[in-house]
Amino acid sequence: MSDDLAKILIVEDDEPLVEVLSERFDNEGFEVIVAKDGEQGLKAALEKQPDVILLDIIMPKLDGLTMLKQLRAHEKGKNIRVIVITNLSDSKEVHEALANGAHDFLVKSDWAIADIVESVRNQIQEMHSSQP
Amino acid sequence: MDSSDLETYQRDLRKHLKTLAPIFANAAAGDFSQDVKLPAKDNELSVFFAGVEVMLEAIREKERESKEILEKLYNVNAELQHEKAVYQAILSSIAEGLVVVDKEAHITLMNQAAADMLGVDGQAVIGRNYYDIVITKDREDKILPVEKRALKRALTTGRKQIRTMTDELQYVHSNGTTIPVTITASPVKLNNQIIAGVSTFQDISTEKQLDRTKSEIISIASHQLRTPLTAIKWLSEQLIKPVHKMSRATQKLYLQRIHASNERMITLVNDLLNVSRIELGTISLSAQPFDLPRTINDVLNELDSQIKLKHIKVQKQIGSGLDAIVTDRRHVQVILQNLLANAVKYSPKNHTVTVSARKDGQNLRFEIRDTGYGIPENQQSKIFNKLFRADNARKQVSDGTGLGLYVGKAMVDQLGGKIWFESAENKGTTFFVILPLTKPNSR
Repeated sequence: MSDDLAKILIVEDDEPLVEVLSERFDNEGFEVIVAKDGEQGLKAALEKQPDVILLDIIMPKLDGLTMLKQLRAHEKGKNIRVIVITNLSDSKEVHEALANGAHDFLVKSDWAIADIVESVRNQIQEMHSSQP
Repeated sequence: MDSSDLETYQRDLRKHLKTLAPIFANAAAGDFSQDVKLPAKDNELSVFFAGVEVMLEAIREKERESKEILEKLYNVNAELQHEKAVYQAILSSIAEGLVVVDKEAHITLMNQAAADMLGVDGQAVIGRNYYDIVITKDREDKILPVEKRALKRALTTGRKQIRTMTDELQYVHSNGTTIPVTITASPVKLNNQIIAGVSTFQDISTEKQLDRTKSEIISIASHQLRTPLTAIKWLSEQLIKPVHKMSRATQKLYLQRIHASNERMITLVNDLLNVSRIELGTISLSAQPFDLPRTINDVLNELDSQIKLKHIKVQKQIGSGLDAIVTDRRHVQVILQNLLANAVKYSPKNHTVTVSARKDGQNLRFEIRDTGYGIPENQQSKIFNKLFRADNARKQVSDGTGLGLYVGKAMVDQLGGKIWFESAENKGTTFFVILPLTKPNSR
């Protein structure tokens, strides 16, 4: 399966970041779905079944960690690959994210976009290789 | 001697002996003051009487000496009592808790500060075991065992023990509450033997609060700054190395985004600087005439991108005679920036923000009104607190420091003005500000 059919859901409330991420992933050949808060994010994840979710933590209405918990409680949300992207770097948040089934945790300001794309690609590869 | 001489002698003897009776009686009662009347004739009787007088005089002398010694003792005692009272007063005035124990850790002294901090009677605890009266909890709220107590280690090792803020120890008040403390426990040595122990401690609740506030500001700053920093990082990365060629329009949009993120960081840094200036009391005031309508426009221009993005309609109601008002321009600008930024931020799309300014006697009066999310009634009393953001604000708008109104109010207070508001959840908020104006040409 080539990346061109890969679906990515970006759950992030900060406008400039959402725009630049969408643009980049679009250019990289992904189908991009966007959600501005945890509520929209949960709905989009369950309906659209993306391959990878890029999930921010601090968001209005429903924060990222709570959305993740609710997602994992759903049959349709149990196995979606999730990369938590945030600017919080306290270990408490890292532990909570990984404990709730995030596959990776990135601090936004430490990573170039190209590296985030790479990270997403790796998740998709891992997903394919772990499928029977 | 013939019988008439003997009779005379007997009469004489009886007469003189009689005079001694009261003297001896008085002496028995402790009064040695009466003089002995010596017989006229110079015989063995007069010798006897002289002897009694000499003896009485000797006793009187001893009495005088005793009295002197007693007086000296009373004086010395009075001095000691005074010194004791002075030391008691010194101990009572010491704000630190002070407890002295014997080498078996029984309390021999506790000053008032210690008694108050522990909620005990400073006199009643004398003789009690120190470790039963003073109870320590660690950072996990577990009671510290005796071997780990600072005083125990001081008495055992003969070395001073210091516990600082980072040890995060607490003392338990008799009512169950705890206070964070720093502790110093020292052994008291005489001829190289430990004869007693002294423990002093301080309530550091204020210092801990300050420490928490500072940590909070730092973590808010780093989190809040990272968001615009990330935007600039990724946007510029795209501009430098785009995957596909970018249109001029997209390039311009990205540059606008970079500009907006930079503005956001500038605002945050200014807010934080203002906060620390307020805390340190280093803001200076200078009153100069300036053009208020122009300042209002400057502030609105800074908010232009936000206003356009949300299609906010801005209505201005500016009175006349405001183009040369005399007060601190910088302060007024910060107040307007914070109130207008909030009005725009907490308004949904397509709503209206009204800013009005007019002279009100010797004062300047502002009103800034929005029809947005409002402040819930049960949170209104905290709205000017540092770092406070109302729950509905947090939910609707994730970006915010909780510093704007704290800074704004501090600026209003420094100008000797008043700030208040009226608000209802989901109906909107109006902020009112009154600032005294100095007359132009008056210094």
